[in-house]
Amino acid sequence: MRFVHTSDWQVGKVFRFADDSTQSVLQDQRLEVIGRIGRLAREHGAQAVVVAGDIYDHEIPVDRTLRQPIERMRQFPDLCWHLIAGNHDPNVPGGIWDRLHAIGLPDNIVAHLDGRPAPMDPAGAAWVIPGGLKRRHVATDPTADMDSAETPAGVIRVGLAHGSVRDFGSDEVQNRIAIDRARRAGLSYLALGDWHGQQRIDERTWYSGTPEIDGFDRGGDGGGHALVVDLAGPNARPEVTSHRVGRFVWHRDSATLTQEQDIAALEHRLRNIDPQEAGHVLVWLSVRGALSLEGLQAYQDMLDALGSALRLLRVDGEPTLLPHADDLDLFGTGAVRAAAAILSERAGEGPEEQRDIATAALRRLALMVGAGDSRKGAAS
Amino acid sequence: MILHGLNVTNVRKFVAPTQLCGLGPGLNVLAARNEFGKSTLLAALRAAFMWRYSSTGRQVKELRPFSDQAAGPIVNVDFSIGNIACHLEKRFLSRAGMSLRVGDETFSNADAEEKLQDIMGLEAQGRGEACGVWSALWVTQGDSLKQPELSGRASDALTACLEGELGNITGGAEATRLLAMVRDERAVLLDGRGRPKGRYKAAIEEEEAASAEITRLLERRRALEDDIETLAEKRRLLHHADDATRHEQETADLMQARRDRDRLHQHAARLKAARAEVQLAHGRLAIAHDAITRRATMEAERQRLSARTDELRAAMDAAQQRCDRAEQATAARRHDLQAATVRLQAAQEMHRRASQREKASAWQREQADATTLVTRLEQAAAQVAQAELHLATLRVDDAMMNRLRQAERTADRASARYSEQAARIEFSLRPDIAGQVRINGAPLSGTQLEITAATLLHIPGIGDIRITPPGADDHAHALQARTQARDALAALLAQAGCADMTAALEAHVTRQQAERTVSEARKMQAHLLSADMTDPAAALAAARARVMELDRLLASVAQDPDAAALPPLAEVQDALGTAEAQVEAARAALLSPDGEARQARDMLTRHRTELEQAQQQLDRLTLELTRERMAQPDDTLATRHQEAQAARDTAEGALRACEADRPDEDEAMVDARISRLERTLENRRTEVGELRQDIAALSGRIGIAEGDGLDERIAEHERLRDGHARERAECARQVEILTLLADTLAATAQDATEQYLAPLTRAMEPALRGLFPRAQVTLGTDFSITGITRATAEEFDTLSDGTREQIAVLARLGMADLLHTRGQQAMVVLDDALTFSDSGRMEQMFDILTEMSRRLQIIILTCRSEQFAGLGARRLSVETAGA
Repeated sequence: MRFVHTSDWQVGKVFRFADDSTQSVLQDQRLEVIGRIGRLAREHGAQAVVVAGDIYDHEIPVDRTLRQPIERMRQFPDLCWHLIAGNHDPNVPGGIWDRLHAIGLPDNIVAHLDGRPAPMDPAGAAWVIPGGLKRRHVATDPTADMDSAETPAGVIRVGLAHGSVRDFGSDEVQNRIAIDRARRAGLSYLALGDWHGQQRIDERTWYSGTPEIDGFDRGGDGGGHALVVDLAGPNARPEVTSHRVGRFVWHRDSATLTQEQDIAALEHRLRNIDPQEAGHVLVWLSVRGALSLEGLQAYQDMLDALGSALRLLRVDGEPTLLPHADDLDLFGTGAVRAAAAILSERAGEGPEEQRDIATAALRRLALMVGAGDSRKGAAS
Repeated sequence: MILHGLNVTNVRKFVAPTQLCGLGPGLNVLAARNEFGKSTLLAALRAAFMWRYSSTGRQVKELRPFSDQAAGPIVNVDFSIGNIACHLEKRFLSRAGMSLRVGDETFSNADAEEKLQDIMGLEAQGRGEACGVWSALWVTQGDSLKQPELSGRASDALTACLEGELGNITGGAEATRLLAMVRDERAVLLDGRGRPKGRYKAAIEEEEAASAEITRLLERRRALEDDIETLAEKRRLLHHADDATRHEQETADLMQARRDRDRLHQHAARLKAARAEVQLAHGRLAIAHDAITRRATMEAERQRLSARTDELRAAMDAAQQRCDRAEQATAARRHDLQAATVRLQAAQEMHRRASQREKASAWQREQADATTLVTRLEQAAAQVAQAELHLATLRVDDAMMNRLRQAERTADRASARYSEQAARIEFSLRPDIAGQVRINGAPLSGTQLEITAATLLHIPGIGDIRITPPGADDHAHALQARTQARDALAALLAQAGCADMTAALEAHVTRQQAERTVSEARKMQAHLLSADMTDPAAALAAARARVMELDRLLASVAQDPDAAALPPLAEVQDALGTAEAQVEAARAALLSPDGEARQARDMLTRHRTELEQAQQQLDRLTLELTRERMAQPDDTLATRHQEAQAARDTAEGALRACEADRPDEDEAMVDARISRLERTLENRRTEVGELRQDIAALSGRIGIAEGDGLDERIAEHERLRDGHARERAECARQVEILTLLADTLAATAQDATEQYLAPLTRAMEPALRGLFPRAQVTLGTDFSITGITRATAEEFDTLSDGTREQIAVLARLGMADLLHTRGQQAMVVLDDALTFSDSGRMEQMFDILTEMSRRLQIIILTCRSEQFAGLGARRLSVETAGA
């Protein structure tokens, strides 16, 4: 039995930090990845795709969002898609699954909402034992009933659940799944969702991670993949292979800039995240340090360039101005230089907010003077 | 720069080529009348230097000749820059073009335009206009009151001069330029009042709108959650209410209850029928019993009536005997009464006669008194008549006397007025001639004379003297009045029968005496009258009638000679009383037997009537009883009674059996159970219907809300809100940055301005102090004069027109002087300036202009030739070709 394990599509997710165009592209890719998962299943001869919850990001999406993933799955009638409810789309009364039920799901999509085991394939060689959520948070283990779930003898038991096998130090344990559930319930494989990074818990228990990364903090732990699971028999060790299906690279970086070489190094690093597809790279950069006026100008030029090259460049912090006597020469003599000197002095003292404003004002003045000089130069 | 010649063709009034002649260094004055064309020449000069030859703007079009709008204006200018001679020709509109010769070099059209701007320090401003310091130095008519406006290259040129004066670059101009840029950038975000605008304002508004939308969506989300919870609750209730098993059980219970109630109803009907049967049996028994009782009653009544008729007949006989006895007693008593009545009549007659006898003496005394009264009344009447007769003869009563006195007073007043109208002549004549003097023919006598009419006085031996008193008419009137008054008095006296007033007074006294006599006679007569009869005549008649009545009574007594023999009146009265008592006693005795007879007759009548009624009842009852016994003998009646008793006993037995068979359940309880079950089923039906409706409505509402994708929309709006918030924060930060930059630049620019304006101030102050000793000017960064300090600091705008105009001219001269000193081109043209200056200031201005003209060319266009004659300037003229 071969199938694809995926989870946490979270279709309809809104990216608050993104502008309209980026938001649109990111949302589109969360749908497009379904097609890539389907094609991955076909390529590997899989018969089914199990989606371990959080198909949707919102409990109440708009109708179009509700229908979009269904329509994508409908495009693969040769595959049977097995869905369960996650904490983002729990099976609450009158909720999203009732709406789907009212719409009517295609024959190749099975929503496992009642917790009862069901055949995974037409031949009934494997059975899905679902552990979907009926509320966003449950205090009990959503896989607890898998231990006693009855399936025909000799079939492959595939658990499908959404929750966490660790509490990450939280006082309140929610959707907590026993880490040895596969062993307890006699599962051939336990397909889990909830963690957006791909994770192997044991040889029979895996988190597939989200197929399209949706946050900077999850970019480095395996998100953007789907798992192809091959089970030779009920007791056979599953062969799990990870395949990249995601399109975007989410990269978080930080830099301390004190000289122009630092700027160049940072630019080089960021440009080489994905040199061929920089438009698929999203970067969240944290910057600190202090630069001369020229350094600040170079830094600003780098940001402008990268901001155009990358899909998203989000910057926190700013290098402060490192006052330098030679810098003031940029402003010539007279009143403008006097103004620059005042701003430079303010940029080096007082509260951080005041320094920040004064630094920005000085940079602005330098840009204006530079533009004026450029104009004069061009004129000459 | 020195202007040497200006030639214009087809420029407004100057159609033919016209030359401004006499131009040279120093002061130049063109003095000419109004509408000569001075301003046209200045306009042509400005057009030549400041307007592109290709311009078709309004100002260029306005240069066209009035008489030929198709003709193109042409301006030729000869001038020198330093020692280089230049010639400029510009053709506008028609065959537009230009040429410029600078020394040996010649330029045409665009090259010429560029060269001209270069050597003149002009800056293209668009729409065919170029501007420089010249626009400030060439002052058109009416603009002399305005401050010179310098911008762009002109300002740069002046600033460069000033900074050159300082020996270094202050950067004030650059700072000011940058400041303007910063302010422009900030103006994109803030309006004039410092309020957000543009994308800053949009960010704030859109953030607020997004927040409001999020709030609204969250509210809808909460409502949706409520709806979902309510829907779940409704479905649970529906599931509970729509339980088929319970519904069947309740329906079965209801059917059983209804059957129980039917059974109770059937038993109640049987019980009712048994009771009705018992009641019917009792009725039949009662009827039989009543028939027996009635027949016995009738028999008893018949026997009673028979006995009664016998009693009544006996009573009738006794009553008849009593009646006969009473009638006999009554006849005897009536006889006694008649006898007593006769005796009473005799006693009454005797009493009448005795009474008349006793009254005769009194009647006699009364008759004498009445006769005396008649006599005295007759005498009094005679005395009154006599006195009244005498009084009637006397006519002077009080009224007459008053009328006489009134007439006398009237006559006296008329006489007095007559005398007042007379002229009085008093005279004393010798006795010897007393009789000789005559007046109106009569001899004059006495010692005075009243003359009331024309009088002729004759004096013998002397002649006649006619005396005519004044007011003869008044005198005649007075005389007439006196005569009428006296006649009236005489007529009244005659009416009174008196000769004069004395006689009248006597007659009046006599009448008063007669009136008193009449009064006394009447008083005497009144004493004789009774209070109830005051009329003397009636009293006399009544007295006479009473005398005649008494005479008749006395005569009647005299006709009964036996009266004297009658016993005394007291005895007669006693006898009368006795007779009356006997009559009363006889009447009383008659009453007793009469009443007895009446009672006996009444009783007899009553017994008879009663007997008749009793007999009729007896006959009727006997007949009825006979008929009933013929119809139903007494034995039959007894048999029926026994059968009715047996039937009653049977019915009562059946009733007791039915009552014993009564079901245990109470009908009211069964009804209540049925009602409860029916209500329960109905309520459940209603509840199920309502729940289904509610569920449908809620499902629809939830479907709509979910279809709207509230969560996704909330998230999307939160993203929008965050984006707008970032934009707002960025705008706020930019505003803060720009504000700091603007404030810093403004402060440093101000410092620099104060530095580089000092040379301009110094350049202006010699001329200024020539006009305003010890005065200092304050300049703005745009070289405008913001104020002047003499005794105190004064705002430029608050100065008088003349002072402002003089200062504005001095500022231009100062700028030109400064430019000239720094090697820049400068030349001043003043068109009709200094119009507001008084003669004293004008002289001072002449001195200043003369001093300035040693370094600068100054051209003055004026219509006041006399005033500018003392300037000692070159006199310019205008020559037209062919004139």
